[in-house]
Amino acid sequence: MTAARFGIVLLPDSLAEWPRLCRDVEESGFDVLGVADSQSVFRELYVALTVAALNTSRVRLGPLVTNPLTRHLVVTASAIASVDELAGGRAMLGLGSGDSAIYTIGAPPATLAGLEDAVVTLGRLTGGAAIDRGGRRWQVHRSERRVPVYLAAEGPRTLELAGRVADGVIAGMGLTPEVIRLSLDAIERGARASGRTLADLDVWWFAKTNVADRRQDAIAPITMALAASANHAFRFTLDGKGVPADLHERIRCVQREYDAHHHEIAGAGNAGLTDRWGLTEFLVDRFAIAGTPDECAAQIRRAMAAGARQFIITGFVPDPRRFMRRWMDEVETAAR
Amino acid sequence: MTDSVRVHLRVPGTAPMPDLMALLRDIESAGFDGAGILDSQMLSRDTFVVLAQAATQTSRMALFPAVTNPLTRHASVLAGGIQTVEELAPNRVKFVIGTGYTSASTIGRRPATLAEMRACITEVRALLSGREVDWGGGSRTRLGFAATRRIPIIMAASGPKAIELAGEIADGALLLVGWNGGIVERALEHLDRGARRGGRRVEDLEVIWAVRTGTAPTQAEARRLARPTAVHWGILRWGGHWLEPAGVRLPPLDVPDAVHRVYPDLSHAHDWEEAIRATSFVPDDVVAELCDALGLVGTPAHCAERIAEMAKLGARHLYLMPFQTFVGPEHEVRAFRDDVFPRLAAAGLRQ
Repeated sequence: MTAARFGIVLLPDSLAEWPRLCRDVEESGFDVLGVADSQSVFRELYVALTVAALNTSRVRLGPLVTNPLTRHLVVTASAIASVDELAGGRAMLGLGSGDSAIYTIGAPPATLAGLEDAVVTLGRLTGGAAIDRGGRRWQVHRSERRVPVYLAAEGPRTLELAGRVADGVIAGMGLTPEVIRLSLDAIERGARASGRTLADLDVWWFAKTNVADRRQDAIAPITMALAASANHAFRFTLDGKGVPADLHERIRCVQREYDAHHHEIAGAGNAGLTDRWGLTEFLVDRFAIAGTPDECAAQIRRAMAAGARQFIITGFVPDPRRFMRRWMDEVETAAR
Repeated sequence: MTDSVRVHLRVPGTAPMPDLMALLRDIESAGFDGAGILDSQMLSRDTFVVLAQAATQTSRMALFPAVTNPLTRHASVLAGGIQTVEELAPNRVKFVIGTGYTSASTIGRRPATLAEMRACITEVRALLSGREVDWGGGSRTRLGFAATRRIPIIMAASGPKAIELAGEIADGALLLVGWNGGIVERALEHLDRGARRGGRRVEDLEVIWAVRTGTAPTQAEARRLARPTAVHWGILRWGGHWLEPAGVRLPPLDVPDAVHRVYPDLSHAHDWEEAIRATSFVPDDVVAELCDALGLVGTPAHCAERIAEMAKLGARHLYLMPFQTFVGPEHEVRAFRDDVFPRLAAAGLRQ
C-alpha cells in the first residue's frame, strides 16, 4: 500500500510562536500547511499565511478553509495570488460555505450555487483571466499561476459539486469505511459530470487528530473539535450521511448548544458538549484519528483500505509542535 | 522637534514582492515617516499581505492600508486584519479607511455612503477596543485578540460632508482635497465643524494632507507628467466645490471620449504616455494652475519651497501620492532623500 500523506491545519491564535510552528510543519515532513480563517477568533488569515510563506520553502500552504462571504471574491483571489507569489507557487485555496467566520457575524452560509460560482470564479481570477460581471471586467492583473481551489465538503451534494468543479476536495463527511465509500461515490459522480475521473481530483480527508500514550488522553483535549464537526458537518441535513437515526436528536442538541465564538478553542464551552450528549465515541469513530500511536495507525490503515490516502489533520491541541513531531515520528511510521 | 514636517509615501503594490520589499526598506532608510499600502484588489497585491511583509522588513516607520474601504471586506475582517498587523509592527500601525475608489469602481460598486462609513468605523473601533458589536439577528461578537493600544482610525475624505464625518467620528482625517492655502483653510473649516459636532476640537485630530506629488528636473516636465492626475482630479472629479477655494477658474472644455477609454481611469492608467496624450484638450497654463492647487509638482527645490510655505499654514503632516500606480515611487524616494529632505532640514522643518 502507498504511504499516507499528511497535511496539517493550524489555528493562528498567536503570532509569537507562529514562524517557529510553520517551520516545524515543514521540518516534520508534512506536505500541506493549512491556516484556519475565523476573523474574530484567530489572527488575520492572509497575514498568517504571509508569515508562513516567509518561513517555509517546500510545503503547500493556504486557507483551510476560507469562505466566499467575508471578503469580496476579487479580494480573496488577489490575496491568495499574493501569497502564491511570495511562496513561489506553493499556494492552494481551500474554500467552504463558512463556519464560525460567518456565524459570529450573523451571516447565513454560502449556498451550493454560491460555492460553485466562487470555486469557478476564484480559479479563473487567480489564473489571470478577465471575467465579465454585470458589465464590469474583473481581473487580478498580476496573477501568473492559477491557484488550485479545494472545496471543503461534508455532504453528498457538496462532494459531488467539488468533483464537478474544483481542483481538489477536503472531504469532511467522515472517516469510517462506509462514509469514505459514500464520499468517493459522490466525488466521482461529479467528476464524471465534467468529463473527469476521480484520479483528476486531489482528494484530502479531514481528520480531527491527537496522539497520546493513552486513548482517553488523546481524546479529552479535542472534544471541542469533535463538537465542531458535529455542528458543522450535519448542519444542513443528516440525510444521506450514514448517521444512525437514534443519534439524530442528540446531534441536533449539540448544534443548538454550540457557541461559534469559542470555535475550536480548547477547554472552552463547546468541549463538554460531546460527553453531555453521549456522542464522543460516535464522533471519534466518525471524524477523528486519535489514540495511541498504534491506534492512530490502525485507524489510518482502515481509512486507506476504504480508499483514502491523503489526510489533512488538525493541530488543535495545547502543544502543536510536540504533537506534530509525535505524529510524524510515531503514527506515520506505524501506519506504513 | 515638535513642529517638524512628517512625510508618508503611497506605495502601490504593483511590483513583484522582492522589489516591493526593497522599496519599503529604501523608503524607511530615506527618512520617510511612513508608508501607505494601496488597497485595490485588482490593481495591487493584497494590502494585508504587503503590510505583513513590510512589518518584518522595516522597524521604524508607520504602516497603514491606503486606503481600505467598508465594501470589500467585512468590518470584522478589517478589524482582525489591522490588529494582526499591529502585532507584527507594534505601535506603528494606522487604520485608514475611505469610501472606496478603484477598489469599488473596478468591481462595479459605488463608493460607500457616509452612513456605511459611519457604521463601519463604529464597528471597527468597537472591535479594536475589545467591545462587543451587535450584527443584528441576535449575533454579537467581539474581537478575541483586541489589544490595549488604540490603533488610530483615520478616515480618508475628499468631499465636505465626508470631511465633517471624519471630524465627528474618526481619530483623524486623510484629506484628499488638493493643497494650497485656500483649500487647506476651507477643508479645516469642514473638519472643525465635524469635530465640534462630535464634541471635540480639530486640534485633537491627526490631520494628514494627501498630496499629489511629482518631481522632475524642470517645472515643464513635471507638469507634463502630472497631466493625467491634474486633469482627472481638477477637471473630471473635483466638481465645483474645491475650485473656488483653490482660486482656479477653468475655461470651457470639451472632454473627448479618449479620456474615458483609459483603463481603469486617467489617474491610475497602465499606459501613462497614452493618458498624457488623452489630456491634450487641456491647455498647458490650465494644467500648471491645477498642479499648484493639487499638490507638489515641479523641481525638488520648488516642492521643498511649497512644503515650507504650507507648513506656515499648519499643514505639516503629508501623505505623498506619486502619480503612477503601475510605476513605483522610486524616483520620488530618491528625490526626497537627496534633495527635498535636506532642504527641509536646512529650513528647520525636519531633523
